[in-house]
Amino acid sequence: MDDAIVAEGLTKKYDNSLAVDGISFKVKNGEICGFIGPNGAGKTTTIKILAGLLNPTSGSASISGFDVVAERLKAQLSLGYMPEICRFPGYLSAEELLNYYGRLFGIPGEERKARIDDLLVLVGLDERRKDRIIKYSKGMVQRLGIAQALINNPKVVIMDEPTRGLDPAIIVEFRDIVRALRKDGVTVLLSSHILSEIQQICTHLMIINKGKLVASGTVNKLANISGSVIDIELKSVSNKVENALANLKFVKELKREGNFIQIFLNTNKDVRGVISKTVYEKGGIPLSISTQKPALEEIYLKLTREVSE
Amino acid sequence: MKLSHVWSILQAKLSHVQAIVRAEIVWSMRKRKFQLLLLAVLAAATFTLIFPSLISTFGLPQSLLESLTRELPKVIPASLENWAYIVLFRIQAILWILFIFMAMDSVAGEFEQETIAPLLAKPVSRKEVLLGKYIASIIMVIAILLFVIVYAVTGAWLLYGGQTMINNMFVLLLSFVYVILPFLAIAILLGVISRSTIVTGLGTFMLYFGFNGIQAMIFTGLGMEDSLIAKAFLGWSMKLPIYVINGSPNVLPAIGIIAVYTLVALAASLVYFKRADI
Repeated sequence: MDDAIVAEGLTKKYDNSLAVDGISFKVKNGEICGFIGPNGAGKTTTIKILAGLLNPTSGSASISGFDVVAERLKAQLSLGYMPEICRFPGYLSAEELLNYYGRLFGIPGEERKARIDDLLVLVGLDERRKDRIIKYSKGMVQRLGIAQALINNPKVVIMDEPTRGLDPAIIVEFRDIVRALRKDGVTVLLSSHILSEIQQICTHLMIINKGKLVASGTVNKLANISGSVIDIELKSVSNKVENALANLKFVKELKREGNFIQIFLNTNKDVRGVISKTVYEKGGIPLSISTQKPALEEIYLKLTREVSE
Repeated sequence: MKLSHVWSILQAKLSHVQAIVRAEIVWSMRKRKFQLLLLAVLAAATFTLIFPSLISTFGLPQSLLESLTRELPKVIPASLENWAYIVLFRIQAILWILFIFMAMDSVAGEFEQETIAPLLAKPVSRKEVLLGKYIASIIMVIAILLFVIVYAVTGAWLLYGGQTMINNMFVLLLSFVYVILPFLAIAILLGVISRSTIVTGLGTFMLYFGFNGIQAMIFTGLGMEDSLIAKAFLGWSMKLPIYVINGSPNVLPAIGIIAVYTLVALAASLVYFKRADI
């Protein structure tokens, strides 16, 4: 089985509002998939359905081939879940909490103990393992959230805003943890508002807005959907050149500033040759022509704005 | 299905419930509010226990002692050899506060503190979660009552000589615990519906006072204390410890009525909790 997470026509309705609107997607085994979208887009609702905490109004979803409603417990056996807001019983210690959750996964005693030791070292809570969670800082609780999501050696990990409240040094460590998970073949779905972070660790992306999946695929594929931008520097720019370029069928928008022209394309093909030829034909002299792929922020803003409009 | 497979499923379920019971007990016992209430119970028990000694030691008026032995149930005569009973009778309100506090925090507290999401994302059924929490509450109630009864009997015996309660200690403990069962279940039901400790606590208290006080007042006033209608309400069955001491024939019907209330509340909690969005 290739797909670790599958959603088909997933819908969640609250009274009169549609939080998730019939979204379908697949996350393949071993992918690190970023799940992004503005506040209220439906990320947390989707994640909660996948974690077995919310019942979908319609549609279905599965984790490791098990339906999250009909076979919830089997689906949860291979799942590690880190909620958006990490809250744990404050009067337990980190060690007690991991032991408690480990028991719920049916992990045998010795194995559980070794796993707890490893995880507490991994998230840097080893020295505070006996302290009650109530005494932990927000960042420490967040780190414990990561540890508890990994207690069962999960095949699929779903993290909702995992780096919220973490200091930069820990965020770097978090990225290493996710990369290590990828090496082990673990599938990770993580939502975040920090796009640069998503870009650094994710192999794939899903963008959601107003409950609908706007785009999905690799970061490169999404950049292509979004279209490229070409910057041209000319010795001098005449109206003839500008008009000729603006009339090319793959040009969506053209901006002129002095001797520089920026062309927004509606194609992903390499059209620099056509552009150069057009410039020469109209008597212009190009000094340089360069293509740039849009940054994730631009892709994100563009795709979410299009849906909003 | 092979027997060994059934056994392994059962073992897994038992281990889940056991883990929840353990965590719940540890969590409850470490709560500051719980510790303070337990101290208040002990202080009230100690004060009631030594009250007759204080009166005789400091030569205080006997009317003070009467204020403590007034309105006792008929089966508990106001004498020093019944003093352990009197201690238990007098501190029952604060004991109820402690028990309801424990129960209101167990499910509603998880919702309020948002600790329920990581728990329910684990491969544990909601039935096991509720059962674990319910069993943990019962264990805590038994432990506290056992301690209080032993404390009252030993203290009264040391201070005032042989206590009649010694003969009934075990059945009394069981009947007390049994009377509390429906209220623990009601607290769980209100917890899953309201997800608020205040609503759960107040709701359970109101039902306790409604059944225990208002029901008794109404039906006694109407002279229908043992009528069929009165028996349908939980208040009538809440006198189970008195029926037990008295050797009354009401014991079995009371046990049945309490069981019905408990099972209905638990079943309703489960139905609601299973469908609940977290």
